[in-house]
Amino acid sequence: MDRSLPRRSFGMKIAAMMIAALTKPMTARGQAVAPLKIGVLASLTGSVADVNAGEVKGLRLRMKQLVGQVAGRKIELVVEDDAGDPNTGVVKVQKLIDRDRVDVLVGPFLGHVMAAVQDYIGRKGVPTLPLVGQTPENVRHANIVVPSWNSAQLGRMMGEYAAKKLGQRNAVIVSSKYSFGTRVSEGFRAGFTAAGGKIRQEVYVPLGTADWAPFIGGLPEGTAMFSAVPGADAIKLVRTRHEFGQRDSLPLLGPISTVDGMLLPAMGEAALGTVAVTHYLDDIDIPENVRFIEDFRREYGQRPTGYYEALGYTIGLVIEAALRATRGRSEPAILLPALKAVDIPTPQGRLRFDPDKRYPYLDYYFVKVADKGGKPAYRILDVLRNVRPD
Amino acid sequence: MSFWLYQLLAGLSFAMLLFISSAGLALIFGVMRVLNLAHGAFYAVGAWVAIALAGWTGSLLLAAMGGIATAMAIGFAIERILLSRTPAEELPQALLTFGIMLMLGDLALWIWGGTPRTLARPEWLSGPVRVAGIVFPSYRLFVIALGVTIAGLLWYLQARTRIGTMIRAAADDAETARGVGINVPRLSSGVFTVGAGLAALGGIVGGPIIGVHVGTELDVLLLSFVVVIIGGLGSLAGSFVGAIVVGLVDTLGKALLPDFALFTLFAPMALILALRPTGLFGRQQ
Repeated sequence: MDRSLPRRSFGMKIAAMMIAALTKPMTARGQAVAPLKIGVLASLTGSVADVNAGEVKGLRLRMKQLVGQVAGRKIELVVEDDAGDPNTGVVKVQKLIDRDRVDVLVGPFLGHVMAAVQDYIGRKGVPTLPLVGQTPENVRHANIVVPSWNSAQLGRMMGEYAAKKLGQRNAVIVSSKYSFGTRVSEGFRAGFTAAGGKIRQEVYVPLGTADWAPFIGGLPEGTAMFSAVPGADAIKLVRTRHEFGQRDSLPLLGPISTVDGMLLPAMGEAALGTVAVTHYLDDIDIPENVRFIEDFRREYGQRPTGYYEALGYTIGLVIEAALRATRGRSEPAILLPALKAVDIPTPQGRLRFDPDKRYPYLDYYFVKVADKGGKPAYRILDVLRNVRPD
Repeated sequence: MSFWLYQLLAGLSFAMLLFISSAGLALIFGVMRVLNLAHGAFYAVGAWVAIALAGWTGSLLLAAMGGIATAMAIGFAIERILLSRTPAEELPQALLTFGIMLMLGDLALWIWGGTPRTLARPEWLSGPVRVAGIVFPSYRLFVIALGVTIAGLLWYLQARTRIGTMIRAAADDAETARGVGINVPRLSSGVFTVGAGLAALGGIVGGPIIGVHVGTELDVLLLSFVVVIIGGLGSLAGSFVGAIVVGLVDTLGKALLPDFALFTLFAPMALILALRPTGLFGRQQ
């Protein structure tokens, strides 16, 4: 009886199975590649939770349309919440970069979180696209490319517009006390005073303030109020202003974030008459935008409500375009220049970056919140095309 | 002149909101000496449920009733099932109610998500009112009136009714009260439940002004403790005065020194406690 024979054939079967299991499957392209990881650091709880969630939805929509892969590489999305807190942001960004080893970082959103994490991001060199426009001092490092406005410039443009086109002579500033709020407001002050206007009062209100009444009391009538206030705080400000009869006597100006489409339903008629500056509206009549709105509606069962969903989608388009250009390579030295060189049609119009400033050329719209069929919506007052970033 | 009137009314309306929100804690902690850290959670639950119900039914009355009833039911259950089995000492009560606060907060986050919300104002209170040359929201005037009314009702309950006397007796000396035939456990249960309901009422009244967000339970708890401690433990009148002090100082502070907005709430508390450690109306113990 030869006992070794069955054992050997059994052993060979095991060996064969192991070899088969350990050999990586050959793809059509001939070599398996690690998936590209996109880390998203958003503020998913807190006063800007809604707009962040909308933006992530826009980004996910594009990922879904790409069937989870670009240029032969699979894409994975890793989403983390910084809860609007800089300390949490630092912890989460370290997790995304060091533990998850993301190839691209999308976020953060809030300026003061950006300020807290930018040096770490700069040291690690991961290509980063913040979730919204930032002020230049928060994005000093060369691997951060901003897909949206320069905050100070946005304020400056509104300041000039208010003085020159809206004929405002006096203004007060009531904004939120955080990076974006102060920088946009400073920009407004610079633009407004350069165009001959006078700032009568400036108040900066802590984020998350419960009651806005003390801050808007005693303001002179006939002036304009400029407010850079995010999310739920904006809802409180606008409603409190209306409570106190200021909606009509003290017209409100601001960046689009103060009266974003997602906040308008909660503000209702309190927001009517507000003039805002933006670089995207769902009214923009170009094929990319029409298609985006239709795709969003089909995927999520409702139209996108404001500025942020489209921005999330645009960020997806930017990453996709850069990856196609590098044919799927994601080493920072290759991916970063590709990101800066992107020049694509998006729902916002043509998007290309100024490679030195790392901000994009954009069309800016001045809009007024008006009643459209019983609901607040935007009416375009003016457009400035192809504005160079500051 | 109009600036001061404006800030005075704004401060009073905030004060009355504070009072309504802390009255429950004044009862439970001040009178029954139960350290209820879940007080803010009852406020938040009242607000969240009311907002949800207002969305479904469109009726603010149903929403308010639903919010208060939910908080009272939860309060009753906590008291009967958990608190009554806990020794009457601060640490066990604090741990228990703190845990409940965390759980209720997370539950609210899970059910309703992370976006802050506000409650709609009733139609008849949505417009502004012209008062001596300034424009002031009618809703906030309503809050002032409501706060004063509730203060009056609570005082009457405490000072002039049999139940009020029983509560005061049980608070002073539970054993003797029991000996005289007062059903102390049932009284405790009742006071706790009513306290939870009052907290929820605070959440509903505050809903249109300050709304509710993740962490409201902690914010309200802090504010309520400030009011009750400044006013002095065991004194509802103290809480009323404490609320007025806090409301006015905070509002005026924010208006006059907006850069110090974060201090205007706690600086007066620190000052008052330094001068009168048992609070304005507190009994020396």
